[in-house]
Amino acid sequence: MSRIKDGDRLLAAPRPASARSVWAGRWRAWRLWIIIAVVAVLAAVYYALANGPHDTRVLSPQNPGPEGGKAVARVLADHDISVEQPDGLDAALAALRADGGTTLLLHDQGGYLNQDQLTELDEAAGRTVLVEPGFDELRVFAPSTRPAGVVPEEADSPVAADCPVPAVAETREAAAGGKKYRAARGCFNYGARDHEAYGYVVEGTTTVLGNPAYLDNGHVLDFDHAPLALRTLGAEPTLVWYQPTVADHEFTGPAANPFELLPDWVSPATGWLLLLGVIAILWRARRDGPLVSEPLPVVVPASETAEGRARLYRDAQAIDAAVAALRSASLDRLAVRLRLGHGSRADDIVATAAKESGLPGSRLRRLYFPEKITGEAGLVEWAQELHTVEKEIGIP
Amino acid sequence: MALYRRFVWLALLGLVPVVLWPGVPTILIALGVLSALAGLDVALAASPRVVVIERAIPRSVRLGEPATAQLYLHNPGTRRLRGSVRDGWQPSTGARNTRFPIDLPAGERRVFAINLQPVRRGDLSVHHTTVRSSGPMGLAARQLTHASAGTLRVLPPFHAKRHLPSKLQRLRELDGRAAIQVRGAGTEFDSLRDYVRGDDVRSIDWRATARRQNVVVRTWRPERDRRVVIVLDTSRTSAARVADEPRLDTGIEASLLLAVLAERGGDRVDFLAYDRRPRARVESASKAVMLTQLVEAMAPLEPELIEADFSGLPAQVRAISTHRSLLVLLTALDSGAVEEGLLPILPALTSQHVVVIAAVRDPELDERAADVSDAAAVYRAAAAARTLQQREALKTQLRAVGAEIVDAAPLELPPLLADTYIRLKATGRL
Repeated sequence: MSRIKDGDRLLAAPRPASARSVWAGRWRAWRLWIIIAVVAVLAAVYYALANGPHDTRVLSPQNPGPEGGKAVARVLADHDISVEQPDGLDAALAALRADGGTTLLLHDQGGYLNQDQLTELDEAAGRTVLVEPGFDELRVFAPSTRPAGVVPEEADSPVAADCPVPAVAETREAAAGGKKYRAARGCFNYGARDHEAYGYVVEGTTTVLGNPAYLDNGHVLDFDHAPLALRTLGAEPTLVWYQPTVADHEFTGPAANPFELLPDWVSPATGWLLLLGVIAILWRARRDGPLVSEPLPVVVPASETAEGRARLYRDAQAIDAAVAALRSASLDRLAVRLRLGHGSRADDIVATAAKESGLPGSRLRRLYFPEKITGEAGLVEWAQELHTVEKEIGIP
Repeated sequence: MALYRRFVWLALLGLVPVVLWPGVPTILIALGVLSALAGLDVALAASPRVVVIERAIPRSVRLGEPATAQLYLHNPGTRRLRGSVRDGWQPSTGARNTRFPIDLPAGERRVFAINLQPVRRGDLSVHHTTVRSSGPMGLAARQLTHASAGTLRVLPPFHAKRHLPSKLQRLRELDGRAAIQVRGAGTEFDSLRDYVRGDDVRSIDWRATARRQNVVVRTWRPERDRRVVIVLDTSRTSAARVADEPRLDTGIEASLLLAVLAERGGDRVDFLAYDRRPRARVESASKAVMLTQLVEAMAPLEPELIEADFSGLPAQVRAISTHRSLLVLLTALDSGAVEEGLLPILPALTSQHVVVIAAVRDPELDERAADVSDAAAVYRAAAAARTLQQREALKTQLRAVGAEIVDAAPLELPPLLADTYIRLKATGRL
């Protein structure tokens, strides 16, 4: 509600805001925050729906992507083999210690388990399948097998199975790749004679799979991978598919986490200070009223067309056009100075100028009827000469 | 809702319990206490919604002069309103003190003076006033923006006024009132008086001399009550800035000087701002208010970003004056716009009126045409020379149709136009 008064004029007061316009104003004031909140909620819902149940870990039995192991896990489940995916070492041990025959699939890509944990697993497990095991795992599960490095990319593919292991009986060949292992006997020999290195090693109850391509969704149908995978994993009624995570890593040594040395109040105080920062932002960011806009006038520099033409001349190296313009303008000035009419011919103007000024006619003729001028240096020299002559003749 | 610095300090104080009894419950309790205090403070604050806002704004102010607008705040509520107020003047009004602390007891009214120093011509406005009402503890405040519109009309500065005394002096010389007589050719007979040495012998009235003992001369006075129609072009070419002033503003200065001069010279002045349609019009009315009407009409003029359409101009001029008039057209001599728009209709105007075309010349082009220091400068000089030549050709064409041309730099245009008017008046061509 407001009224505008002036010594000699009284302007119409704006009408009081109606309820509708008040709400419209509030909507305008809050709409940014409302939109941000709605977008945040939608993003959270989308994220929960789209990414929640999905698992993107390599060889995970829940991962339907090319690198996942869901295909093998589903086929095994269809053959009444229960596939369990423990989410930690304790759960894995519990699953292994349960009744009935179990196979342990251990795929420790990050090498998170230490010697003690591996030993514990080894004691609990019956049949074990190690996928791309490292040195630590082999030392516990298959002491006489040694890693022999990575299969070179240029290795011939496929590799013939060529071995007497029953699980590989239906397999003739498989893709080359992954890691290779040195052992007394094995299948998919990558090495030469006396330097055997295998992609599939069986030692006691432990099977070492050198190539994850035997199991993953993308390659399980290649060559004879499918029977190999199913035979290897489906020997017992229960399969414990265990992929350790960083949560299973057991920190050893003193003060692995320096934050644990800090007093208790540090993190609540830090949180409070963050909150204080937010409050300070709210305090400083609140404007006292909306911004006032200034309707600015258009600014057009008057000489911008001439400037544009100059740039065109320059870009096109239009020396002739520049010379013609300057010469014509100079002749006009001469004609005005010598009181010759607008219609005078250039010859007459130059001749009169030579007579009046006493300058040599040949010099003026060279200047006003120039030979072909080449190069910017020539142009500048000519223009300066023109300028000098004009001054000598007395044009201000 | 707005927070105060005191609230932030209080929140910092909340660090003490958080450190003494670390834990989430402490944080929640501290947060709860803070929110409760802020909420209480806001609840106890006076409502900014009931405040009644009134303004007193000067009707108009000349550009360059200060003005004071007054803001009245009335608190009809039952609580004392403490806090601050901010008035939303647009920046070009030059308002420095738009924020005031306020302390309004219930039912009382206060006035605040806002000092304005406008930096632009035109209608400058204020749209809203924001009232922030602080709670008794000074932790948080209620804030509301009231719509409260107001306009300050900023008139053209009329710097050309300084030329007025000398031009008026010359006008008076024409009028026969001064000691030195300048006789116009086509002027009207005024009176007879005794010959004094220095008078033109051709002005001796022999018949009257024969009747009396002294030699008697006739005196003339310039024609009076002629019509002067000033047309100001507000099309896109008037937006161009020459010497840091839009052509439109130079045109306004020149129009004002000419109008005041013509009015003192006894002529009737009409003003028309035109591009495709009339933008402003002032008719020759009572002389005392002519200047006021003129500056009021000119104040809100802005360059329109459209091409001028002069084909409607003869009809507009005819509507203003059916008699022979001095038609002053303030426009730009840009080749394309004038050749296509103005040249075709100019014969229709020159056949009936005396037409003067006044245009602003860009002194920068002359400077550039003379600069041949390096290659880039030579190309610029060539382009400038070419533009100037086209302009000269255009002026020749316009003169051939019978128009007078006044082509001058921004500062020189108003006096030169005034000189042209005096010359035309002296030679009786009006």
